[in-house]
Amino acid sequence: MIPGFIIAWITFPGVIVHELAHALFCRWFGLKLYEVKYFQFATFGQPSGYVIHERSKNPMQDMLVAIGPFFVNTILGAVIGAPAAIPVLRFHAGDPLDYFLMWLGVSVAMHSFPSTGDAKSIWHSVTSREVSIPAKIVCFPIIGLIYLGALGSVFWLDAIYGLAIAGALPNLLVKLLA
Amino acid sequence: MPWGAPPAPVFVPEPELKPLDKLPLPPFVIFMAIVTGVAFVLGLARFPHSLGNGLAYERGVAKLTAGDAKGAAAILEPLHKDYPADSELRIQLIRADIGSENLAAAAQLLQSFEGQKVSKEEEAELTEAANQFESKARELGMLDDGDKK
Repeated sequence: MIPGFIIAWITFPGVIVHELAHALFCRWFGLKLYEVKYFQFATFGQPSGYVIHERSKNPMQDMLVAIGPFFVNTILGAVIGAPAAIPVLRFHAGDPLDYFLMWLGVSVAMHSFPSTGDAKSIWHSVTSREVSIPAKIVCFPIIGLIYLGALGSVFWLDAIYGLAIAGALPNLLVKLLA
Repeated sequence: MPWGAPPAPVFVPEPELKPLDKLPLPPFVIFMAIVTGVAFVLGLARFPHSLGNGLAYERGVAKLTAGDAKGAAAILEPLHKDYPADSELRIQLIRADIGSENLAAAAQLLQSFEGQKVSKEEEAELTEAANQFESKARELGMLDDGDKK
């Protein structure tokens, strides 16, 4: 089995986009940034990238900072991979640019899932007293899904998600529109 | 201290984190952001063409299934020019060419598979196409009983 950190090395653009999205969401909400590591050649037990930031008084902002990369990476991965997916996967005849876009799209999309660190950050915010019960009811399943996503990476869930978003989705769209 | 016990941990104060004045953007991040941005624009620009080709293939196969071989060939021929190596596309075009009685084009495409490794499924489809070719050639009086395919 290939260790996760080697997958992160190969798909490093996705890590950079993920951390940049965290940092930009912090800037958007005016939260202080303490440390940003966009990418590092991590080995066992080390994160490939991280952002240390101030906690917001508004738990919803904390949640958006944590799950923002999910939307950014998914949308970017889908748009970058989509035009290459049809020639490469459907017609088995992509040019080098198609293969490059496919790699970039899958790399970006497969780093969409928030990490367990992101889930802990949301958990910390949501369990505070200021958060209303309805907000907690909304947030807990999201935290559960994030943990499932993070645990699922052991079973290549992140890679499957990346391939599905950047590769399978455009071909599914063709089937639906035809 | 008993023998073998780990040494007492030494307290090392963690450096206090200072807020960053601005978003740090190292050159490699700027480079990757530009590459990703260009790829995003390329993706948006190229997607309609790719999607159009994918849809055209599905339309061509649907026409062939509906018995409109001429219509299918008209759609699949330009696609074959874009993706000449795709086996499945060539097989569908062979069937369309046979159906539209363009046996010269079908024969040329059948010959293009010579020496090429194909999957078992494609091999079965090719055998079926070759049989269709032979039947059509007989029907059109282009093949005598003594001729071999």
